[in-house]
Amino acid sequence: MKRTHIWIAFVALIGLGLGFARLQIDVDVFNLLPAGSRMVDGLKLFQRNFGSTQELIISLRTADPEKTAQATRSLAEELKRSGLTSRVIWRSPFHGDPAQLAELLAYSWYNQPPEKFEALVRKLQAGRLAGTIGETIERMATSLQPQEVARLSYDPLALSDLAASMSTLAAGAGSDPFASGDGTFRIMFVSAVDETAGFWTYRRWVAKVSETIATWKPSLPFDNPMTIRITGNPAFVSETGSSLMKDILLAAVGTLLMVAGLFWVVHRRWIPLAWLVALLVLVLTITVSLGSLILGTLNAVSLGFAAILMGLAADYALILYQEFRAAPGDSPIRTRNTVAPSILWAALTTAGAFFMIGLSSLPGLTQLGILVGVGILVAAGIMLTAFLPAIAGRVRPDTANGAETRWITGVMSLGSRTAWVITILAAVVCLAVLVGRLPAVDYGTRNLGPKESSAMAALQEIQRDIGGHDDDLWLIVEGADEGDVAHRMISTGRMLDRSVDEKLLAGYSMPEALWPRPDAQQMNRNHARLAVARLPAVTEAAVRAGYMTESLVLTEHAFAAWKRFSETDGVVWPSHPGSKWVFEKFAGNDSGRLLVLGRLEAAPTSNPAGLQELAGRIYTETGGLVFGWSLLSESLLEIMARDIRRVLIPMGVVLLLLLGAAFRNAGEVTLSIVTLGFSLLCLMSIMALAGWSWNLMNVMALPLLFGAGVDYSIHIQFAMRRYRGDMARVRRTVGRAILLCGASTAAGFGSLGLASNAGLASLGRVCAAGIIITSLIAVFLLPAWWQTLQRKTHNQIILEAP
Amino acid sequence: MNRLTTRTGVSSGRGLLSIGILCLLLGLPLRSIAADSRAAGALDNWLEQQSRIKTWTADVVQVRKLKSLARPLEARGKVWFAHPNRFRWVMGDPPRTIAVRTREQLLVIYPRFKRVEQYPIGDVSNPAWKQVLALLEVGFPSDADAFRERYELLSGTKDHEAWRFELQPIEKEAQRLLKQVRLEVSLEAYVLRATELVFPDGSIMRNQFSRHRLNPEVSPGTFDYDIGEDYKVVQPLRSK
Repeated sequence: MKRTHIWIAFVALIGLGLGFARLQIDVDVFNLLPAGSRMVDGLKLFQRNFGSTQELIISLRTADPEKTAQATRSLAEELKRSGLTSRVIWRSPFHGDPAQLAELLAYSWYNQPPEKFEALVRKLQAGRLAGTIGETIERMATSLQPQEVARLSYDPLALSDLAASMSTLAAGAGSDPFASGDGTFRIMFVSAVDETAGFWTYRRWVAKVSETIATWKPSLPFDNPMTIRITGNPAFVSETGSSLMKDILLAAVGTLLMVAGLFWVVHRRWIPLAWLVALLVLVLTITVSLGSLILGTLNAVSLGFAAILMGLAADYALILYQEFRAAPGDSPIRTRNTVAPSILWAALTTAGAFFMIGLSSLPGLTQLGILVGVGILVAAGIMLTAFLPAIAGRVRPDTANGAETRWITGVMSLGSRTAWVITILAAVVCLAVLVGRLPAVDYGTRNLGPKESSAMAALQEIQRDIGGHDDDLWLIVEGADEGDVAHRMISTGRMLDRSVDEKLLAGYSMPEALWPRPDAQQMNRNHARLAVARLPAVTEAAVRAGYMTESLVLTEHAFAAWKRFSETDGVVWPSHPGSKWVFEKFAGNDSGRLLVLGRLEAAPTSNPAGLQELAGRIYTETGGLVFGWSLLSESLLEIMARDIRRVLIPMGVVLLLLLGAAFRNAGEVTLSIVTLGFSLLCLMSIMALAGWSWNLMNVMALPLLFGAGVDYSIHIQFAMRRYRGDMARVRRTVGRAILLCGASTAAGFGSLGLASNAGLASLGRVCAAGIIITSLIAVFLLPAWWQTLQRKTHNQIILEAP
Repeated sequence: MNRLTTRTGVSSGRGLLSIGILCLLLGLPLRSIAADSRAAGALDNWLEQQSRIKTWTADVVQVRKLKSLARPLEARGKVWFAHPNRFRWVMGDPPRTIAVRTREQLLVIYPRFKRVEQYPIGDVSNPAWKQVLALLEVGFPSDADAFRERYELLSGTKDHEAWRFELQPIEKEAQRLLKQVRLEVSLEAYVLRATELVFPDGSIMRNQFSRHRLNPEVSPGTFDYDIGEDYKVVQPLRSK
């Protein structure tokens, strides 16, 4: 027998080890979003595949534009030297390097419809070349746009007209995307060396970059006050994930401490307390290991299970302890056998309810449901087998009747009539409140992030002082190859044009001119060869027209790029680093599928429903994904509604079946359901009065409250059976344990109310309120309801009870 | 040329001496104080004169000196102005570029390409647009206070036929687009003779005005433009 135990322990240890070896925690905010939504798919594709998502944006501000420029250059060089970054872009990547700009221009021409490139080549022929350059000169002489004059003064063939006409470039013509108008505020884009995106990588990297900045700052040759801020996707992911982790760990530790603290206050026994804490930690450890084995990577939000599980697992220990105290003459085994049915049925029912949450669309909530479900079963088993035998000799008999203060005795002896008066009064008040005002449903996504975000503040400063970098509406078009994407992009563009005409969109930008067109490139290859042959004549004609030789560098590099392109087989993409940086902003590759990113601007008069409808049409006709945080909110409303049907209905059915199996009595099943409903009614009223709203995160409170409500109602009703309807005795034993559990769990969740993550804070508040309400209803009202029910049904259960 | 800065209004006297010592200690150029006040007075006179203009027309020769070109570029045209801020510039013969400030917008018309660019007057945040407006409006300030808020007088010199003012945009943001503005104003009548804009890259655009007519009859249609049906109208400040 002993050998068998050793083997079981050995296998369990190996299992635990395997589970922990597999343990990975996912803290990315994007993975908190529900699956199966086009909006979310779009956001995730965007997050994974476009260069800007891998970049930190560092902003610098001083009072002096020169100092800001000097500091920006110095920091860029320092970061490059540090080896922390693969690339730092702090001014236009084409600045001071005509070769890079020329390649992009040459590429744009090479990508044009063949007849357009052919027309350009014809303008370079002997009879027309002087006229072509003369026209540029005349434009320079008469243009009213200094920028156009400056551009043409280095471009005798006006090749750059193509770039100037591109919508994506023209929209911000003349503005510096790296500096504010007065130059006192500048930004730089810093790319990670490690391209694997993720919370842990980003957190380490952002911390190292911050350290480097802190070390570099004193080395500046001036001491002007300077503000440096960090934002960009890695900063957001790092900040959100860190606050989430901290909040969840604090909640778990807080709940454990509260359980221990309250146990000490009530029972003042060290050994049982130590055993309780040790077994709770063991339950958590086993559950995390099993969860890791079952689910693989665990979502950070699902780790919120720890606080929930500890609250529920402590119930079993406290009920056992209280029962043992109440019957000091009984052996631990006898007490356990007496309480076991109520604990096992409660565990089974509550776990069943939590397993049903696995049907939710929210990945964090799904995992949380499974983890709590598994954990409850583990907890029931461990507490029943290991708790009482270990502490039996240390339990102080319950002689509390004399020691209890009068008011506690009074409360515990609350009569049936008083309980019914309270029930009716509470129901009337709650209904009155809810008729006047229901709690709002906030389906926005701001609850996913911290309440106060330094990364968001930095981004808002950039948007205010430089512009751009917003996240209004995006479009991703994907395809098997460049040609497929180009074809779909054209179809999508036609739909977007119609939407602009219909005033649904104010405008849009798609990199149509920059995206490679394989068919056009193939046909332009010969035109490029013809153009390259004309370079000496072009140079001679330009000099004759008045251009300095050194002002022809751009033209020469463009011709060199055409030469290279015409010798390249297959599809041509620009190869210079500057061009690559630009292309990463709108071109991506997701597991072999090519992606292109566009930006949409909703018309001021448009409504979310219209935009959703447009997104649906684009998806149906071209497979394009329209997404954005604003539309996500709208989409989440549908998901929340769908989840309520998909999770709560099956959960209700399973609960009914399990409660039926546990009680084998319709009246008691009904009382459990009534306890849940009444708790929810009271919670909704408190939320309405306090101005709280339901949101994406605090909907998790519902399953918890269902679980706890069912749990408490089973314990109380089984106790009512055991004590043949003696309400005061039930309250002093099981009721006391439930109040203790409820108080400790609520206090743990209450500590989440101070969390920096807005969603978790609201979850903490709602859970704390809900747990307190549920435990109070279960302990003080449910026994009276039960008694009345049994009287109406001729005391059958009381008579049948052992 | 008689540089005003050679004259000084400082006489002997203990009070003035102490001011002089103070100025020396603080590094202030004593001589320029009086000179600048004369120039500033002249500039004020011109601004006052401009505010009295109801309409004004002139021929213009636009000369552009660009670093990348071996010789300057020259274009001829005509300018119409009406108080407070309506104007029409026609450059080239036949016209290549026409700029008309209507009530609601600035139209830049390229007749040869049958293309019209529309810039809403309300939106002056775009730097390129600011540059275009500065180029067209700098010589026609209708509000002296607004002009002083935008430009700082660096120096003013006078010869036998004209005042020459060197000004600098006050806002740092504007300085990044326009380094300096030079104005040439006739001595007696304070009539604008030329404007010169110096850009940060060193290129210069000079508008030399001639055949001025002060307050002539100008048809109201001058400051409008009937866009032909075959013209393509674009709004460069809007995304697609």
